[in-house]
Amino acid sequence: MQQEELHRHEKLVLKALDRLGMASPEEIVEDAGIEFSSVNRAVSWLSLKGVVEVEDFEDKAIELGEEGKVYVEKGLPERRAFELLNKKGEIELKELNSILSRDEVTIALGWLKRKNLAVIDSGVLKPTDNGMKERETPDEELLLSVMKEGRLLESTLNPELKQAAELLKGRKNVIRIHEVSHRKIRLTEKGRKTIKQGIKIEDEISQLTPEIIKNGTWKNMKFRRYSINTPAPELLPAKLHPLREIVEEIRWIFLKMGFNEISGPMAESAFWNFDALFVPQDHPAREMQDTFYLSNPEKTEIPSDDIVEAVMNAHEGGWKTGSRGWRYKWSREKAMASVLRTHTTSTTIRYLAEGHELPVKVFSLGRVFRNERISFKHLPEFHQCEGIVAGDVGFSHLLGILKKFYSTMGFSQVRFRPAYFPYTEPSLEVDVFLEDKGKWMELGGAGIFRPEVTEPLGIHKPVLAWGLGLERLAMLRLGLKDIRQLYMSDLNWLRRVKVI
Amino acid sequence: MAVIKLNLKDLNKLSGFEIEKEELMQRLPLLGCDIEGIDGDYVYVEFFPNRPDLYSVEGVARALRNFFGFKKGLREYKLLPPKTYIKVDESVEKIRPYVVSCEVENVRLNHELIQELMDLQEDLHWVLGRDRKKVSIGVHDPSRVKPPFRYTAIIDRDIKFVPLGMAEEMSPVQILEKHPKGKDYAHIISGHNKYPFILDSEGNVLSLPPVINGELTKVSEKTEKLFVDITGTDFDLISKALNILSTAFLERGFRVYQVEVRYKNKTVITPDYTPEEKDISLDYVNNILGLSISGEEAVEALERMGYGAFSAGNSLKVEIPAYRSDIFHPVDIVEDIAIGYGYENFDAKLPDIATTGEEDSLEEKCRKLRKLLVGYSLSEVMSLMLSNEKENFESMFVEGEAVTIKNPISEDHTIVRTSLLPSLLNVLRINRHHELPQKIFEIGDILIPYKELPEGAKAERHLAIVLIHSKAGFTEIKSIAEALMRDLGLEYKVEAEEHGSFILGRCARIVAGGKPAGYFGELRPEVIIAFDLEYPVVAMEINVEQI
Repeated sequence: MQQEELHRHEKLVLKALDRLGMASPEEIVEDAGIEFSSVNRAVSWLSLKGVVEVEDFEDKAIELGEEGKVYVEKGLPERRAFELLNKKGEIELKELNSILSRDEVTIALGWLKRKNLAVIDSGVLKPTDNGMKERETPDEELLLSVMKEGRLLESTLNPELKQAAELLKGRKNVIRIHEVSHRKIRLTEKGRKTIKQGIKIEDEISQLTPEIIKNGTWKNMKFRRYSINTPAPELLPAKLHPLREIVEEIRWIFLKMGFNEISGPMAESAFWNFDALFVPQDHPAREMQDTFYLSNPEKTEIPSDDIVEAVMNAHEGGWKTGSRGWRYKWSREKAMASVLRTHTTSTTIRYLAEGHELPVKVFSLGRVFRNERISFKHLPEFHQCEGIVAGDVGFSHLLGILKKFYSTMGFSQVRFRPAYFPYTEPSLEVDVFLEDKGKWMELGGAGIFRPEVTEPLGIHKPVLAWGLGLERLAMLRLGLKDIRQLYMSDLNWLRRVKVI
Repeated sequence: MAVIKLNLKDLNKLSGFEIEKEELMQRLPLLGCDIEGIDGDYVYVEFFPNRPDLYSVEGVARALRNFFGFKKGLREYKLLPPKTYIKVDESVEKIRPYVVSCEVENVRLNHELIQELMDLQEDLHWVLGRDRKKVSIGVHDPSRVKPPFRYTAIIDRDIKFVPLGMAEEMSPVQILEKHPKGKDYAHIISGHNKYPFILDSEGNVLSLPPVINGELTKVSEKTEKLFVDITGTDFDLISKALNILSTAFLERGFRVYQVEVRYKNKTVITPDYTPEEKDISLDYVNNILGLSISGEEAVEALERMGYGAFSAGNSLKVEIPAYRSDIFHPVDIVEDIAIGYGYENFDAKLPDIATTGEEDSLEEKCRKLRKLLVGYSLSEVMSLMLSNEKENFESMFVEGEAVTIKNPISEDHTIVRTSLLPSLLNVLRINRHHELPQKIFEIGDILIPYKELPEGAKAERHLAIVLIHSKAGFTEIKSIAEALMRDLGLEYKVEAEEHGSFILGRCARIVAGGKPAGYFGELRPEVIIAFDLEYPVVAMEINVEQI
């Protein structure tokens, strides 16, 4: 340990310990002549540096109780009784009433007998031989020292006084005993070596202050060297939510790839959420156990226009698309049902229906809802993003865009597998290779919108579409096993989570 | 979705060639499925709802034989001519109008095969039949009944039979009221005074479709012949179901006999495996796939998917296997060409469309706001939009109307929040044992019923802040509100506001650019207590679109 790394107070404490050997902070205060708080601070730093060792002891402190204070002043009741007895040789019991209260008389008689100072012989109190010898009993000695010291530690008492303390404990309100801990500090081997190297106490600068800068004293003083490895307090600054970081990252990737951002309603008609996507009205995904239907508002308005009519015809018999359709009676009523959107595709479809000039490249990112019971794997709402490209494009472009998209997210190995979605054909699922886990993980779906979806909207070119859920990606990035953690907003976690 | 348990030994025997397990695990997903798990000689595979023909080990063996290139092209099956018929009575027309059927001989069953057959039936009921509404299948051991058969509807008091799993005769009404299957499926046929039945020539009951079969024709390991009835509301769909089921029997080496189905005006012979033919142009295929493959390559890909295919110039003549129920449109054939060609063989390329991306203006504003708020030392939190009346209104001592869920799954999530503050207070509740001060914000959406919009509800983007610590007070939140207004360069006024959640006289309204944008102040102790908190909380909520 270089002595430059020691604060002046630390040096003073070391010197004190050198003189005292093992010492309590109070003893060091006295010896070193610095404040109690300074000693404590110096000791904790020295201990972190391994120069001193701190031992904490449990002990009992003895202080005077309310009665005890009175007794110290006037004497114990039995002492006062004995004094009178001693003066008169022997007394009748009732004579005690002149100097003691009724309670004290009882106490005095009990203890005179117990301490073998006097005996009662047919109503007359007589001193014993022992009583004549004793000048002061150990309990009285203890009371006096407690009064003098303010308090005494049990561990410092000799066996006789310890026994006296036990006796006094049995008497009401005479002494109070409570648990205390106190510490002893001693030098370690390293500490002794440091001292051997010599400790020079001189004025040095620890905290540089405006005064020191202004008055120029810094020119003639040494700066104490700091021990740079001593731990600094943890700083827990405000941050964006880690899921937000991922939302922003994905938005940024889409924007970089030249996609315009769009948004759409979360309370949505079944028409835009399902029908316009060629999801038949008896499809399981539309059932109550998968989709949140609303009772307020219970119904939406859907236009009475060509698009709705074409969608209806596409469902019923394929319309002009060349499809055979689902072949059932389509219900406008069912299409008007109000739902919480189950995917962001409702937003991209609305956009396509607006009749923008092709080519079109847009994306949408937002919350979607599914009627799922909350578990470590599922939430009833989560974030989804979706991108579309409409124009002179085909399946191989979809694969190209996906490769680019996922590699920008940091997944260099991507593979595609056939999949099924009611509104895309061909469809695929994207697997990304997790280098650290050595395995493939599914991370999104994609496809080309079916003609039954695009033609009723007046679009006659392929529309490539893909999407993914953000929470799955977030869990992967953050190493979470429980999806709920993302929405618990546990501040201990949020304050410490690494920013990706 | 249907998870199929594949017995690998059986799969190899049926397909007629050996595939290594590892290779199978690797290539099977490229046909279109998710492998759910492996257990010794069994693989659990989830096939997609568009391919019910893969819901049996026999169907998978057929697909693999093609896909791996051992025997490509349209599979020819030998059907034997009818030996019996079903007469369809007009009485079923309004209840469940259609039936198709076949007879199967040379049947060898064991426990596992019976289980697989039942699984296949159930998967077809679910995926094709929409839980038996459109398709329901009865598979019978016909040894104790006498052909020919009748499909007819009968009133309750005229018929009784012992349904599967029961010991005593029951009438149809009793079955629909008491039998577990009866209760499950009563809704499909109730509402008529008659009930549909498949009967033999002596009036014995084979089944009460779509509810239950009779005990009389129960299939066992000793069964040597099968009789199949499939009833439903869509003739094409039940025909597909019959094709899927009967070709599975043929793959296993059973003999399948057609059955004549005699409707009032016409007789049809089922099953019928005549492939549907479609002509599609090679340009169409290449256009969608972004490829430039030749006719031969397209034919090769189609044959790997079990199609019959011929190419002539720009034209492809395609024969669709009779067990495929998912070919709606030529684009469905195009997907199969892509799968047969192999997704892994595509040359992934970027389209030649140069565009610049633009942020949504609201999202851009929120992104900037978040940056500011983190700079004010506020931590961002994210919470669910789903809420409940108690949290959103009662605990906040306010009243209002919320977008309400008709079919909530839990009491906690019955409405969509109308304000962000309850969400943030809930976050404080979750963190009530953690160090103070806590200073958090969220920028998120709320929904309110709004009749002027076609959707009947409108979303608003809100910003809310709450601070909790022993000295949290009005001045601190006012400083933040004003800093925000200054940083956004807004002209603003602060006016007195009365709000149920805030202490009277300690709540202010922010008026920005002449419009009220939101409010801030000190929360009432009642609100603090309602969220199990014990320290003063100051809060602010504003509508981002108003600033």
